[in-house]
Amino acid sequence: MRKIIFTLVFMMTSFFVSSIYAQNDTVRIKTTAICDQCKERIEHDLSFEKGIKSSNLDLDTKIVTVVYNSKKTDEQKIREAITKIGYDADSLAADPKSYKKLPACCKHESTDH
Amino acid sequence: MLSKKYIQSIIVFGLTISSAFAQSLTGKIVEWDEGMKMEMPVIGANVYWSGTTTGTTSNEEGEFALTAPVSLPATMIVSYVGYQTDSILIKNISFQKIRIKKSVELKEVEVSSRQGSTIISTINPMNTEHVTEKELLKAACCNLSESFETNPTVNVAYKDAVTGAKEIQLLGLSGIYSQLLTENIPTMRGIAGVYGLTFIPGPWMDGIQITKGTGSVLNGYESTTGQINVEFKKPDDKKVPHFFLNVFGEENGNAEVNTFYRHVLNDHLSTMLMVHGNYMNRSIDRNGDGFYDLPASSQINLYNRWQYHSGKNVESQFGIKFLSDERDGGQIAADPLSKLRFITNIVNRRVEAFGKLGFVFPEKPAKSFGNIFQASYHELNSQIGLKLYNGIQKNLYYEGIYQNIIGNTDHQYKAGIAFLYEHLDETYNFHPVVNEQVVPGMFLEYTYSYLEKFKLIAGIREDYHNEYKWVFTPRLHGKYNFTDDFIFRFSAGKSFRVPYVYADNISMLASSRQLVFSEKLNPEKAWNYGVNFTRRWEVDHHEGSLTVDLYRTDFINQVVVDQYSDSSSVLFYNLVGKSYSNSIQFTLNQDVMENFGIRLAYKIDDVQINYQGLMQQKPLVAKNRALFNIFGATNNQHWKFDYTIVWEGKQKLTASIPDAEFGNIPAESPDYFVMNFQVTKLFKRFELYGGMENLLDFRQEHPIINAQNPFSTGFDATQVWGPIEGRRIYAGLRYQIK
Repeated sequence: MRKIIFTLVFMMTSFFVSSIYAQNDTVRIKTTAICDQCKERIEHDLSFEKGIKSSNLDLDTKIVTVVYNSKKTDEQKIREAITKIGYDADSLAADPKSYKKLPACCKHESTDH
Repeated sequence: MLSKKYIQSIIVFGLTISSAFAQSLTGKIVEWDEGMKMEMPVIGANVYWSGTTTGTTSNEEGEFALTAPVSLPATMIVSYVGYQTDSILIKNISFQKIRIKKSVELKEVEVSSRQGSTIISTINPMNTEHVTEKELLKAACCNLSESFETNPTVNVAYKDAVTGAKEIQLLGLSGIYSQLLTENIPTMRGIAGVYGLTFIPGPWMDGIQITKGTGSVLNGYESTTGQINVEFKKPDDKKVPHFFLNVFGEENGNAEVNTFYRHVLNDHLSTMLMVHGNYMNRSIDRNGDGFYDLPASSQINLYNRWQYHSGKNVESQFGIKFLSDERDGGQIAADPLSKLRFITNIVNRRVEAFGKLGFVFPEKPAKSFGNIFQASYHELNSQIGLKLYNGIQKNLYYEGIYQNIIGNTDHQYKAGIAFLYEHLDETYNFHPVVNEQVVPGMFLEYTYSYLEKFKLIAGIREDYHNEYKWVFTPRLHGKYNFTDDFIFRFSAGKSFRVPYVYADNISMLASSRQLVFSEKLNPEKAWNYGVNFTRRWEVDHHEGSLTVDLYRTDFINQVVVDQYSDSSSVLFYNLVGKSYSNSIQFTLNQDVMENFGIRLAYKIDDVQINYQGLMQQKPLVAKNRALFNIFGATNNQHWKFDYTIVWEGKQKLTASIPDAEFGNIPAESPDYFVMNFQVTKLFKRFELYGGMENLLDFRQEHPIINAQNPFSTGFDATQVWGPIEGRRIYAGLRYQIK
């Protein structure tokens, strides 16, 4: 039992400590997000991309602010990741296959918000 | 800013000058500043006549001068960003002082994921805790009976060691004194209530509302200690995934599958189909008493619901549920000499249909008329050793509620009628009993609000019971905000309940005691009163709260279930003397860091009943209980963890016939700790979770007294005060398509 607790404390400490040593940069990218589900989708999927620490999408401006580790990824890779999710990223167009998979409220033609 | 003020002053001056030649309406716009405790002027508010496009703005003193309209009376509009627009009917030219209020601030869509897993309102006068889905996911939570593991208000325990029936405890009293509702429709009544808690699967639920005290008159006269309302996921809720699958497994052999599919057909109609199945084969007898620690069980549960919005006035819902549940337990092998085997076999079959039909009036948002229909058929067949109990129950329920305001939203009322039909055919050891209840009723509930500071809900209800004639149950709830962060709530109410002796006490069959009824049992009546203090605060953006609950329940009449007076019988009789429950609970919630939080709670339940002249603490109710929970997540929410430790105090026991092997049974159980732990890892398309319940592997060594001789006098499986099952290790997977 004690071993389990020590392992967990060690793991949690490692998470916190490793985050201090990262080189954090921020980038703001314009997307074609429309509704809440778009925001959730983009933020959720981006969190699994290598090097991305956090992302926050503002539905009013449609701009997603991404904090990332510049040693592991870069702005172009992040834009590409967003297109793979199904949204435009600045001048980069969304991947058509991924766009098809989006929920109704996220597609351009829809008036459903 | 300075030049703006200057310009405004000039404008006002100019208007004032011009008004000398033409009539103008002057006034002042103010707001109440809670922090400064005084009236402050509102600068730059727009003031204009309704239907016109020109107007004026208030200056730095909040003052304005508006040219008189063409004719009076006329409506003047005051608007300001972030405040509620006010419209005032002006009948004559006179100085107008107008107080405007801030608009209710809409929370940002970016809901902070760290707090709010159990929400305590500052607006609701009723003492209601709202347990969100996030809180429900903290524990293994297979069904409703396991949804209270991190909640200090509700305890759940096995009623006995053989049937698998569970019971909740609220304010120290058994679950039969609280009302279970699904979406505000009373459910799991009578025989359905025996296992009812295990018939509501965890993933189907959207949230649970736990209200302490007698609750609203709308739901009937029965709730004494509280109301537990379960909200299911809805077909038109965009937050609910379109497809969901949960696969769960435990080391003890319990396997479970939950799935649902949600489909929106068009703007008006949407539907959802929810399926639950669980299967457990028996194989464990860790305490070596010859009885399975847990019964083998299997359940299939189906729910199909529909929602219809006409788009204008009509809102409706309907659904149908089907359930089949079977449990097999008891002795593993027959006695070599007698060749007898003590078996328990319990089968539940249920069909339920419900419908809601509501009429709303978009031009009059405070007015609505709702109708609730429910019909159910429930069959319970149980064999516990040599005792057989069967029941078939048919229910029909209707409720019609009309709500509106009187003058303004400070005075709201709900008036309605209800009808309950309940027919129960019971058989106990071949002795049939027929119970029929036909109860029409009417109710009226009035809500008075004074700003956000004071709210009062006064309700009265009158029902006509076919057997007990007129039943009057008044209820009062209120809240007073000393400040926005310090709230006081109080409630008082009366309850009425018709007992079903067998269904309410089915676990008494799991002992060799004779069930003795010396007289006709009268309905149970009680008064419940309580107060609640809630104090909230924020330290460095980390929210915290402290709530103190003090409740007292006084029974006017109660069916006393007496295991103390005669060691070979369970005596059932009407209360003579006092029966009360005093419950005090302290709960502290504090967010510690960005994604971490803790909860600490302590509760005292003093439940005393007059058992044939002797006041004793009710058996199997711990006088003291404590709970500590810590939860946390990584910044990206990819890892979540939960840890809970519960301390259960001593409980009174009633077995007085000694166990042939272990000797005398103590009068009191020991106190003990139970720990639970869970970890969740979020992946891109699915989620994995795993954990341990009862980490310390604490077990009640001998839950069954005289297990070696189940057919002798002295056999007692009702003295369950602690976990029978030891450590549970489980894991599961959740997959969803949004």
